[in-house]
Amino acid sequence: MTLPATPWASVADFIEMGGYGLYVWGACTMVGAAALWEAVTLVQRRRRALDELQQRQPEAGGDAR
Amino acid sequence: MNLRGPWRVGAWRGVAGPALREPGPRQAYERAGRWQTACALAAAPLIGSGLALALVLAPADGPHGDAMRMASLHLPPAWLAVLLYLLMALAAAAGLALRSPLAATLAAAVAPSGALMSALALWTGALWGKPLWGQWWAWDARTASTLSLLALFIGCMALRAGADEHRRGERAAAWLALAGLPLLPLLWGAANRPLSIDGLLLGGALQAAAGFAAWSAAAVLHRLRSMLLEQPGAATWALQP
Repeated sequence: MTLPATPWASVADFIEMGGYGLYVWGACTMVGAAALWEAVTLVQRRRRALDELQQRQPEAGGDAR
Repeated sequence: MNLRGPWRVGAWRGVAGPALREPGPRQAYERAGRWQTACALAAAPLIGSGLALALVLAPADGPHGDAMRMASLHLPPAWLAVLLYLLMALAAAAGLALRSPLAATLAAAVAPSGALMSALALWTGALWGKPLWGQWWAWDARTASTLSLLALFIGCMALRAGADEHRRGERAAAWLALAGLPLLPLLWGAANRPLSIDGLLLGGALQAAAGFAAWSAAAVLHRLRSMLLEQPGAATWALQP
């Protein structure tokens, strides 16, 4: 199976990346992992901040969106 | 240290203050929320299409062949590390000169994202250096400056976190950020060597960089909003229906 209009002869070729597959996909994986980790820590921080606010003022209504 | 004249902290507030009309925390919180959503939505398509251009579509005919495709993964975080440092330093300067708490909070919000981008730049740089030059790491102006940027970002975070008094830590972090500014032209000069790179590949790298910028902006704004909620006076505006 060839991929039209690309320099790759096949999907397997693309994954191999001319022998540099380990480096390219290793870098991609790290970027993806970094994004995921950052998203998780951001959400955790926000949740903690909102929880502390609620603790400080438990009788107040509404929410900070 | 009690400085006089134009070097006194907050000295410029009178000049710029009326014209600036700094938004209050609630306004900043809401405005940041809108921009955060827009940036978060823009990030993935930009990064995806940029990487698709560089990894799938671009030819790799140069002397290093497919190893050059790593440029699309290394250049964006490297550029973002520099841009985020510049943003942090500018925000820190505004925090000092104008005595603006919002600017100081912004500087604090930028630091972790800057650290992440510097670390990514170092990692991807090593993965690019190995196939290109046969070495995972070599001490030169680029690697030393990027490592210094990472150290400075972490240093600013540590100064804020470790201070007994919040304002003192903020101020120390601001001065550290400003002290590191000379690194930027050094790094830029060292990094800008002629690179034989295919047009489509460079285009992909630029597009991915725009995506990385959107990603960093969304992260910084999200963090800024959390920091605004953490501030002592937040209960007065945050829990209003």
